Amino acid sequence: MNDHSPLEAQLREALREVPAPPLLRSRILNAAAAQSRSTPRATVWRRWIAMAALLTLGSFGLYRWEQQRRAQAAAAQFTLALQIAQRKVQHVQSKLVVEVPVSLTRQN
Amino acid sequence: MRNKHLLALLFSCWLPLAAQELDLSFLKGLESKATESTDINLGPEQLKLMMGLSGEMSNELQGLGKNIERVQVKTLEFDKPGMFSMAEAEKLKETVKSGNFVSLISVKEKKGFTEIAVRKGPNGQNAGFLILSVEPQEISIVNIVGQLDLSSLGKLTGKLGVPNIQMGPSSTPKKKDTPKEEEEEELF
Repeated sequence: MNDHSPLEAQLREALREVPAPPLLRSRILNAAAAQSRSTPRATVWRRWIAMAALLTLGSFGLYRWEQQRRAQAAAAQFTLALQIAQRKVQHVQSKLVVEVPVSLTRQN
Repeated sequence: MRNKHLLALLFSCWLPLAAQELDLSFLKGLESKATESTDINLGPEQLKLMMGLSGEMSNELQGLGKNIERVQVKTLEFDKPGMFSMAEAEKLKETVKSGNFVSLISVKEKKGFTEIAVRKGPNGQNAGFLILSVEPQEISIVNIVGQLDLSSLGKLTGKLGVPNIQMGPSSTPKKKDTPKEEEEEELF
């Protein structure tokens, strides 16, 4: 038994079971609780900001899309209106070009 | 007192804008008899939106629409003739022309007529035109407020889905061209 080397004795001494200080448990729990309180608050704020940014961008995109859609609808209606106008003008012009000279010729 | 001036100012601003729009409510009685109808009413807001459009045809549209303030089109098509009386149609002409219009071209046909009138602006300048066409099975009213040269409609040919129809004296139909013209008419 006396063969134990001083190194072994030192190791035994270092590795012996030591009881935890009485306030350690409560300190760890308090620190954990404090951390759990602060981290989600920041995360929640970040989430809100991200959501607000997303909502703003989404609304802007939707507004632009709606404006574009309305502009295209207006362009289509404008084109149709001009087509109808042109058809009527062309109809009148064909009457004038064909019929007026004929009547004038008869008068002459 | 200030309120009265403000109201007068607002009214004076609103009046010319309101006067530009034709009241076509008298056509409502005929609407129920029509088999097809087209109703286009583009105000300054829609035209402004259109002017901001980007795309292939935007340049042509912007060129045509830059001086236009309002576009109003109403067409009614009937499946058979006699769905409206000519007296009604003549009344329509009087109602429509009761504004500041000066008749430009008036074509009377057997069973209908076409009127092209120019709208006179406050300084006597052209401020738009009105086309009223009555055919046995169709009534069309086109009211364009703003400066649009009628000849510029000819520039639309082959663009924006408008068939290639020649405008101007050079388009005098010849006998041999008649079937072609009929074919083009059908495209509408």
